[in-house]
Amino acid sequence: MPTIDLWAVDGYISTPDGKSIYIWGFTDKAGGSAQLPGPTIIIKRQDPPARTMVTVNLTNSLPEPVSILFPGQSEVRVNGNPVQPQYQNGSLISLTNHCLPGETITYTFYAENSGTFLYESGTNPHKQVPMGLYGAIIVRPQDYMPDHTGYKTAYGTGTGTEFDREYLLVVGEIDPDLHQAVELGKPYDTRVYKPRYWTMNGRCANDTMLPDNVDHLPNQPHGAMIMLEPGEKVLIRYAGAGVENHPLHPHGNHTRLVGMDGRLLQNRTLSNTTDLSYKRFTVLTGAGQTYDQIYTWTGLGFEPVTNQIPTVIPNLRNMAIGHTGMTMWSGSPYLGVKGELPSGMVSYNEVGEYHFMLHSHAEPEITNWGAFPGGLMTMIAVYPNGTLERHHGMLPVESHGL
Amino acid sequence: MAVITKDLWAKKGIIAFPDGVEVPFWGFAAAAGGNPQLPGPVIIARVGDVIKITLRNELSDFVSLIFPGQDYIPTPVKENGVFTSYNTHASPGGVVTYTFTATRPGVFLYESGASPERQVPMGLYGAMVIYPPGVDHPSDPDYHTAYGNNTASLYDVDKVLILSEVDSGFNLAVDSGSSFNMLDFEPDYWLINGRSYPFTVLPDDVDILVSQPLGSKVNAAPGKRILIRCLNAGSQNHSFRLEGITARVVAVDSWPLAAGTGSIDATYLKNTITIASGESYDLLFISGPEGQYYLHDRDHHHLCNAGQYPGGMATRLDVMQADPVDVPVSPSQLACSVICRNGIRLNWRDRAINEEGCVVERKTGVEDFEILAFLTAPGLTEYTDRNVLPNTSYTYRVRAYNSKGFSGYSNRCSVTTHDLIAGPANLACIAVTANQIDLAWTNNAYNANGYIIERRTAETERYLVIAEVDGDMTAYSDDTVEANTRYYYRVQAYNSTESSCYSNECGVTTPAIPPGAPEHLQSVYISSDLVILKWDFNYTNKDEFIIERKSGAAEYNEIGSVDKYNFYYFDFQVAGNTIYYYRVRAYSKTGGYSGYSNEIMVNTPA
Ligand SMILES: [Cu+2]
Repeated sequence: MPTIDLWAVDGYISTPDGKSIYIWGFTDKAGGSAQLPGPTIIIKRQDPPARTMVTVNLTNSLPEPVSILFPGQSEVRVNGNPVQPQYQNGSLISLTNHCLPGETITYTFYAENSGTFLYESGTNPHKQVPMGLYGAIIVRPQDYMPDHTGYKTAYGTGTGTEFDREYLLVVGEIDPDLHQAVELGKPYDTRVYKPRYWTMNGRCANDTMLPDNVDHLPNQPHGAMIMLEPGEKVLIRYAGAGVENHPLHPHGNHTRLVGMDGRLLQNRTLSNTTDLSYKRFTVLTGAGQTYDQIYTWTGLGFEPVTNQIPTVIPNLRNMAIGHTGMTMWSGSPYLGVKGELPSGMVSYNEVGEYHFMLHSHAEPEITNWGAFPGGLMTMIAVYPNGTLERHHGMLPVESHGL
Repeated sequence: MAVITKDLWAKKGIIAFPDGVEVPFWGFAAAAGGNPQLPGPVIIARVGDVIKITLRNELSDFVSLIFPGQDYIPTPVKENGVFTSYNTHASPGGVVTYTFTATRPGVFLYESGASPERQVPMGLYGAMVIYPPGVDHPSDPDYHTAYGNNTASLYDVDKVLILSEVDSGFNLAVDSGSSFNMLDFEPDYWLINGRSYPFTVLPDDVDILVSQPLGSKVNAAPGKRILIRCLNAGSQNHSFRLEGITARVVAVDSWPLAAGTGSIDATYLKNTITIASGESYDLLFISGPEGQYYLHDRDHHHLCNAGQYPGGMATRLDVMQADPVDVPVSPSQLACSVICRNGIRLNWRDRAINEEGCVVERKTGVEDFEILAFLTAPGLTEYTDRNVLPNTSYTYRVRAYNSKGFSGYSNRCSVTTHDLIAGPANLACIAVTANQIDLAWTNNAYNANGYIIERRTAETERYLVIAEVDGDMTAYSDDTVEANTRYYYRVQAYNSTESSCYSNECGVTTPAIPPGAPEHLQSVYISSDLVILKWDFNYTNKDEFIIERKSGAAEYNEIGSVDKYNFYYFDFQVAGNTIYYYRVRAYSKTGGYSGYSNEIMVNTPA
């Protein structure tokens, strides 16, 4: 049965505009620094009738009580008893049992449903969740087998949720004034909450497009770049960890929503299965909610010989990006073709892949403190068939072993 | 088929919040001379009933009602060619009657249609619940369903939760006839059924909330089908979380998602759902094991009353074997004693087995009792009042509550605070530099093990402990202060068993210091139409950077500014083949201008 040790600790994250922001967060490494978001917990369910009991040991190294809520999980218990809200002097402090500074408590729950879930603090949540005490849980179906056709699914074989690659995007907001107040031990009035940064996997654009585990972002280990090949089924999991709602959409194609809050969008009776999945361009990623989607880029099949792009291609100067002489553009409008670039322009394009956005359509959220580009934005890179290495978009079967 | 007749009086009243704040509001009363209610009285009908609402306007604005979701055609009103109301209105002192037939089941709003941007947030809204005709007949297939047979809406317990917000400043301004710019509307209280937590978990019709009669706590036995009917009457969207519960969404805007035999079952499961302004969701689940389950806005900032957690848009499901049949037995043997460091400790005997919480009330001298605290957990037998003054007499009483109402009061207890240890006195504070404040006090204590020094930065903030010093000390230097900031201090002595009361409070403002000059100004990009400047980044004590430029022997001119979080400047106003000089300085509102950075020369290419 999976056991995860988490420590509630503090630490710092970096933003692309050069700031260092104090956070509270979780780590799964003894002596580690807070990570944003908290470590992703990936669990594979047992074959029924066995139940999948998950144990989370929380050790609190912060100066006030901390707790963890597990929305969508079954029979959440602490030290063997059902969790209950906690009061101090008759006043609510925690929505679930908490851990005092310096202590350790043990939560258990049964992972009864596949899908994407949040875990988040239930103590002084107006402060602790925005400070960073949140993370995501992925529960895999019991028949999940990544190397078997039809068994690499989000919700189980036969549920129409097969995928080739998967990406988790945990979104949140940062009001630097809250973080500074907590760092300095000053009071903070939630009425003045005003986010200036918006994060995807704890990073703001353009850091979202960097690989996982880059050296200069030690506490933000997860990138958010989505890389795929045409026709692949890509499972994109949105998790809204902030307190605001964010309208996210990829360009290129629509997504098909197959599950929300860790529940398959399908109703079954003995005789009948009703598929409730639906396509959307923009998904309003609500606070505290998750959205599992399948995305397939189909493109329009243009290629330079038999199916040319029917419009006049703009001149090269108008396709260059920025003043700084760098671009991700291939120099050609055709997938897999590298073309000529304006002189002096350096292209980081590898094999003629396309890059386009996945972002929040609330446009002020694609800035870092008002400066574009930033915030809730990443890129989707479409690689020509056969050119994208297999390891991209491969999350492990399980994160924390047995 | 029945005719449901409802008279509503639109009038002014007062609503109360748990932090003691009271604000005026406009609402609907259910009787002549009655208190207006927030939300308005719930109108309950069956499909097929004729609903006849008579609105009697005791406000000085036009008031009208609209009925979204009903088969009802409103009559928009223009006065002198200007649109004034979505529907026929009642003038001040006037009366208007609206009549329509309830054609489908569900939970619906009724709300003001005249100046709705002001009147709805002021409180002129309420809910209508329309049930299938057979809802009360055990033999009818629609018995205990929200939407009829085969609609996945069979319930044991149903509860309407009306979500909304209050901006107390808006209410005060509008009620007094002052102008209010709606762009400044910023709620500071969030409500369920007209109350903020913890008032939400008090029973219905409590004497202390005359205009907010509706509690929202749900009591149920394990294994019951609970239907939560959430209706958003506010102007914000709320992501409503059922903590520890995954519910089935059975209807949206009162359209069932399983619409009867032969239609598809489009109901789905959620633990949190974003409910847009004006929307409704019916959420069904089976109650789990005994215990407390919070139902709350997942936007945690709405779990505050005027910025203070806990509060706001939260209520609770209590799963218990048996609902209380009577109010609790009153608490007894209330005793109070001074623990100066912590205030006054109250203890009592909890004689009830069915209470959900208690209310502690306090008075000084001959004044009336005031509510001191709502204790929202059962089984409590103590409370510490941390907000007491030395040499003052306090009298306390306690009463318990449950869903049936309040118990009688306990006995009263009285206690006079005194100087347990003669505390520190004559506290004085001096700002020595912009970053140091010196404190000194008189040591009146005997046996003091030490002193606790506390600080806050504004009258409205809470004190925080910043240091502890030995008992023989009478001075302290605080070097953790910032420039141009007002600080307040207080000091308390303690020994191994008890603590003194606090010293007097002293306040002092540190002087401002000018910001440091930017350093290492350099050009990082030069072309014929753009120069990019960069300098070293340190935003302490700065509000913005000001960029100056000159060419040749001319004077420097300010060409732009960037806020303190930027360390780049893009100068697009350059010509090719020109020599420019640049320099940058910082500015802070409190400390004025810094010195200049280094000067650099840039020669743009042709
Ligand atoms: Cu877009």
